[in-house]
Amino acid sequence: MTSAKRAIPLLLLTAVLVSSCRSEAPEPTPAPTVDPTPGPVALTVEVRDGAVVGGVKRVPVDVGDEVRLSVHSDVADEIHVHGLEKKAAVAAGGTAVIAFTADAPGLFEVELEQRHLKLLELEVR
Amino acid sequence: MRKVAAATAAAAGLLAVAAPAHAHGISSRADLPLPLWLVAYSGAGVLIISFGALAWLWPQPRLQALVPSKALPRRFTVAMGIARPVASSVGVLAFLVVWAAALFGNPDPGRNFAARAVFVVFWVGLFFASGLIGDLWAGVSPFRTISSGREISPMLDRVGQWPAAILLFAFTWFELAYPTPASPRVLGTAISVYFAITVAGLAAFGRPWLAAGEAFGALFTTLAHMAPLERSVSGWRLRWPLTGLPALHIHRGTTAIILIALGSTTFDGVERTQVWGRFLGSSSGWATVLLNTFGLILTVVAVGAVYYAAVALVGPLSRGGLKDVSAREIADQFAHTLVPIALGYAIAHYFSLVVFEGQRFIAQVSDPFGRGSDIFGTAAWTVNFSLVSPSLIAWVQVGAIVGGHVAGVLLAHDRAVALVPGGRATATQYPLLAAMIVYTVGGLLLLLGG
Repeated sequence: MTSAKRAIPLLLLTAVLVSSCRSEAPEPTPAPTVDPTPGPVALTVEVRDGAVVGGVKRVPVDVGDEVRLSVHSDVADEIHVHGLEKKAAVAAGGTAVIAFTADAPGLFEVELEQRHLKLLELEVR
Repeated sequence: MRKVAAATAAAAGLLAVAAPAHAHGISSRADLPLPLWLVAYSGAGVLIISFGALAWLWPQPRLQALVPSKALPRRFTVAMGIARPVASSVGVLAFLVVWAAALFGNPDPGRNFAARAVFVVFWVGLFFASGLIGDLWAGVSPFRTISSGREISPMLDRVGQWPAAILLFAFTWFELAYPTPASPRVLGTAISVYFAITVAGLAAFGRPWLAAGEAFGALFTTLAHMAPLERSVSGWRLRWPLTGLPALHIHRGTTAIILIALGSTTFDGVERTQVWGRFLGSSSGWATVLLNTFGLILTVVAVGAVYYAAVALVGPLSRGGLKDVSAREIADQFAHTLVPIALGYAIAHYFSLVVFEGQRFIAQVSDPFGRGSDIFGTAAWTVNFSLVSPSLIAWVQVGAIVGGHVAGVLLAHDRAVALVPGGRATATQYPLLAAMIVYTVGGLLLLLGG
């Protein structure tokens, strides 16, 4: 390849290298907002008219945290914490509480099983 | 770099909160989002490698001509010859057990092993194995076993691999847009339908159906061209990875198969983003299915559009060197460069699925019907979520996407220098390089959202 043909890719290469070199140090992974008080992480979800009040949230917790999830639902269904495999039934108009330890890292979905309605996402770091 | 990071962060903010996979309905866990710094550095690395490659890579086509494959010792061929009937029997048996478990086993998808057998071991497992080891499906496929081996009609000439492409799309639709693909009865019905279609195809067309219409065979054989183990008429051979790809025969529909594999994996990533979650809103039932169908089609089309736009520029950039070659033919000439990118995407999205759901499969294989049996003694196996750390998963994901990109760039370069006369090869590579950068950076950004 003639040096003229190498010029363009080399120019581009230099541009990328120069701009990369000016970058700052690697950003640390942002620390999850963890409840500083000792005790379980208390989470509350309300289901009304086929939707989650306030929208589906992602909640970051640390591996090993105790989690206490309360779900109030206007319909009877089953709450399923996928992956960690915790289940509890909830009655129409009732509240169900699941207490568990988030002992594995990953992104886990909590769902109303029959209706395939996503309630919450648990981000365990 | 700050502005780039800020822009990336803004884009990432849109994609930021990911929905865990309820792809395939085997929702268990999804991967944590990649850290932003890893994505930014990988993206920069991709660009550096790409432009460096363009400047310095070899001026003569090499991958096919100068690196001949090596014949494996006769003992290997003999051993494989003995293994072959065993493999076919295992394939038939496995198919029957999965089918029966789906139709007659426990209807709870969490207890029945059919969903994991199909979506993890078969679909993802063979996807990986075909690209990394060799065409294993050809050895175990029950469809191949039941075919008489005769050709009844020369399909490939007339329709190419379009039937396989259409069926492959149907499968990815079932996997990604249909609400409950893991439900055993539904899965059993789907298996029955696919089996019926395959039997009809074999009856009508004979052996050519296996390549032209059997979707998984068509895809896995295509992927196997990048693998080191090669089956030739004279026996088994070992070759450098990727070197089989320049010889991949592109029939009508082959590019579609590759694009569907790449596009569907991309849509799997899109489905997990919060942007998509908001787009779906509070829709439910068939409205959601329709929206997901639309998303899948749009993603496959978009991935294809990027490719075709890039190859459309190759002719004009060759300044007359390719004036006798049609745009369609140029597209065929470069289609094989997408195969490692498709594999890279698949590994990035499904590696942890194999590691974790694969463990659940080990437990479930002892109790395939979900009725409480323990055939192999593994029924009590619990998933060890610390087998691989999130950090290792992140590096595998980035490595797979960047690795797929590098492979694609090498293959595209090799084909360009073989195809484009008059020293214009470098100029013609820019569009395809840009397309690959779009795929790679896009893939990394999707992983940012988890």
